[in-house]
Amino acid sequence: MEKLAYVLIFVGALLWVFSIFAMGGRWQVQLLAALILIVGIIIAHVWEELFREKK
Amino acid sequence: MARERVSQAEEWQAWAQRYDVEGGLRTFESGLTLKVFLGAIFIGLLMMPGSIYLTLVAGQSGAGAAPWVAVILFTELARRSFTTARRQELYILLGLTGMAVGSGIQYRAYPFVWYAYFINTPQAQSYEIADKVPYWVAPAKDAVAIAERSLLHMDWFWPLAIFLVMKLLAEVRYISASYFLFRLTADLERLPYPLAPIQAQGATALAETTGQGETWRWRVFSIGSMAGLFWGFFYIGIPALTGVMMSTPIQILKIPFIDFTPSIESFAPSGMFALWTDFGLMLQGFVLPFPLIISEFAAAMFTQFILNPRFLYPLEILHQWRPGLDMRGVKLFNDLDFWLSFNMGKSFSFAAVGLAASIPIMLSLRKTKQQDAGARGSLQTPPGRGDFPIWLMGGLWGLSMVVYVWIVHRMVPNFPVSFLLGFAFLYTPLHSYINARTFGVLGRPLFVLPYIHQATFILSRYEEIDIWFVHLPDEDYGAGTQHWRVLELTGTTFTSDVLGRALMVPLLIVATIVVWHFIWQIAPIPSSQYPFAQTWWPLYATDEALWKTSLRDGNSQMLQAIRGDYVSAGFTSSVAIYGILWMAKAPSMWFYGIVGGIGQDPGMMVPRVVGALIGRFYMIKQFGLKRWFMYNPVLAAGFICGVGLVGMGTVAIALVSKAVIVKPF
Repeated sequence: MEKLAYVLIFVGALLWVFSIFAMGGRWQVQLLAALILIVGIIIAHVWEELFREKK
Repeated sequence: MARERVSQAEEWQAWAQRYDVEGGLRTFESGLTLKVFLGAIFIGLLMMPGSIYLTLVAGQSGAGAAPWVAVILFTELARRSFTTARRQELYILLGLTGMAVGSGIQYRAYPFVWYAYFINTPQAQSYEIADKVPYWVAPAKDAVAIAERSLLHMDWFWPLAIFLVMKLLAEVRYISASYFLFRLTADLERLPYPLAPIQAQGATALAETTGQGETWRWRVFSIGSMAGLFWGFFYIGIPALTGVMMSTPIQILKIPFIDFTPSIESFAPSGMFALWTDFGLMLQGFVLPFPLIISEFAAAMFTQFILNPRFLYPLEILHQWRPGLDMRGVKLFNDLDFWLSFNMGKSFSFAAVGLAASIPIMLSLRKTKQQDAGARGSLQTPPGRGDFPIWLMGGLWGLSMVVYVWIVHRMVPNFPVSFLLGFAFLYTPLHSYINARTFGVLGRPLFVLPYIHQATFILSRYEEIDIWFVHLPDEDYGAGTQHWRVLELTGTTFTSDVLGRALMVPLLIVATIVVWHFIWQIAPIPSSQYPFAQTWWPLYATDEALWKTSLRDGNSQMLQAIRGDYVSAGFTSSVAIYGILWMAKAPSMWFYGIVGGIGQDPGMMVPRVVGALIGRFYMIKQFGLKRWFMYNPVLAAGFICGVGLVGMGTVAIALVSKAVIVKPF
């Protein structure tokens, strides 16, 4: 689950950079990147709160 | 060695504990006693007419220091009566006198006299507004009540009745919604509320002076007060007093800032840097979390010295900038070109990130139900705090909002009700939740959606002018959440605070109307008797007439400045920063610092940074971390009290000088 969060955040951030430099900052693509990022962040926190093994 | 991940839960919990000076161990007591209530009424009603009068004469009410003066007076009375004052009592007294003194100071908060003036101004006539002011705002411009300068007249029935109902409903909404949000942000998420201990420790320090032995608190509070008195005299007193005697006041440090923007334009075109000279802000640097201040400053420096001049300006995104502009000019043009839109998107990211962090906590609530109060992820309340059922407060807010929307709908029946409902049940909760979170971390609000009213009016295609006189149901309860945290830190029961407010508000509404009536009776407002109003109210009238007619052609330069792609850039880049920081296992406090600082002027942060550096690298070494975090809120409270006292003293001297008429012989 942690790895999935990493991948989604990485892909979302990459897509945002791509949307700025290659697509002229189109808001639709930016918001798609934001959606991916937010899903990644939710998964990250779900993992932290519910599944992470605490020392 | 790989960095150990510290979850957001652990991080917030650690900060919350650090700001809870007494380690969360406290008993709760009621702060509302008969002597407190009578004291608040006496001092409040004594000072309120003075503060209204001062506002009209000098433009400064002294309301900031008045509650502290009241509390000092109260503690001195207690000492001389060989009795003690509890900190709970003092905090309630602070709150109630603050309410009383502050209740009538703004002409827009009690707008009757203002509108009585406005509808008879040449501006209102020439912009064809004078005859279109609704009956629930002010009587007709030739009404007897206006000619006689009387608020206690039947002509004012509808404006006063609507005002009373709206004020009472607003109080219900404010209490219930801010409590609801407090439970989410402080109880469930354990956000630290770094500025809450200042007020709490101020009341505690003063309460200790009435006891048997004085502790470190009183010593630290006194040091802070003396520093505040010196700084206040230097920064406020000298300009105010010399302004009374000379045509140009002497400012040893230029107020409010020294503008270096024209000096940096050769190497940082379109950047701005205005050094704020109020070094009282250093005290905030002592109190606020160090990583927050440093990351905020670094982000602001990056914006003004790299992002603006090296990227946004060459790409002609900042296309209105030209050499020779001062800070205000650069800010205006940069905001219109880019930052206004970007900052809107940035604000939304706080809500998105907050919800993303809260959803898993909600999911885990069942698991953590048995946890003790004070643990993150638990809605359990500490025993004796005087809490209310959360569903009851949510229900009260919903009910009072429905009634409010219904009244507004009756006032402007042709305005689409869907917009009112959108404001009430979508915009207000979102706005308040974001600001509650930013208060919980940064100690200030961050969510600003500019020109939302104008945008709404354009979208609704509503052309009547009466809508401009309505208070639309867009509200922000975020700041109110901090008040509940201070109550908790002082060990004051919530029920005593609510009861105090419930008793005070109706009294204050009536008293303020009567006081305004008598002040209006003394002389017309504005007139030479009220120099500040005489100077500024005509300008306000022009401003108001311009705003109220600004959308007649369905056009607004400000609205055109908001661009979807820049809003998206602000939102997505901020969320990306959060995600990347999480991947790097960095503290989430950095996110609030970096995103809070992007687009800001670093010069305004310098005093806070100086304070943070002194605190981190000298004070903590000197006193130790725990003791320094105990001292600094008390020091800051004393400082605010000292500066306030100087401010009040100088306003009083200025008032006396304005009241003296110099005869030529």
